[in-house]
Amino acid sequence: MIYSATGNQAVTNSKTPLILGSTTAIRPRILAYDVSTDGTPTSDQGVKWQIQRATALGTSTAYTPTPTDPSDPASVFTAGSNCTVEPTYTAAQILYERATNPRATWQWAAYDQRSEVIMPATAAAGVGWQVQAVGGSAGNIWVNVTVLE
Amino acid sequence: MPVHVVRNPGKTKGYFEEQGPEGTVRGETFTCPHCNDVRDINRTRQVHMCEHCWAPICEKPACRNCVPFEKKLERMEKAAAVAASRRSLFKAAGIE
Repeated sequence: MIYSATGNQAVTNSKTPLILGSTTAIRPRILAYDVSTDGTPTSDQGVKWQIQRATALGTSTAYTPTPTDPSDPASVFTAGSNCTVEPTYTAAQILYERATNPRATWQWAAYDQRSEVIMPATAAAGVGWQVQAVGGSAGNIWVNVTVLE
Repeated sequence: MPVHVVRNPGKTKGYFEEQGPEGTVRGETFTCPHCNDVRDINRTRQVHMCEHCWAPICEKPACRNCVPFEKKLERMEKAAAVAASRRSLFKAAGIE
């Protein structure tokens, strides 16, 4: 079943707008995501973000992932927006990092199963999007993700 | 495990698109089958191919050993399950 989840947060250095959490029952797979900001940028300096693996999910506002098929049950994986306590990220486990223009929208999608980003079937294991440098961005950073479980 | 270096890995299994003020940039990505990291094709130019599974792999030396990421996931899950059962055992014994 496929779900979408969204997280947002005022663009702040070393803060996580979206964290996904796995459980012992499933191996969620990230199919696609996009990253964008909604404020008027103060300069053309890039906003840098990283996708990292986490072993503890920190504290965030729970987001209920939306199934793309309305008849699907609620998701088993969890999603959290606007982390107030940062997840515990695994050192040297950066899945992807990028600096993008704050006016830009960044999208990524996997074409096939071998390219999907997989989370282990372990409680509190997750994947998070963390801002590394604010650059010229203002307002909020938004992360939308499509997950298969 | 020896690796081949190629310009076009053939198996480009993902794509990115950046819609910015200067226009739209598109590119292809691959996901390393040994560590699950995502890499751009156009940025790295030359891509290592695993001679065992013949898939594009990232530049990390550890990924030259052909251990599928699913295998590593199984190990992670097993280790987490062992740690969890130890914790519950300690708790039942009143140690924790």
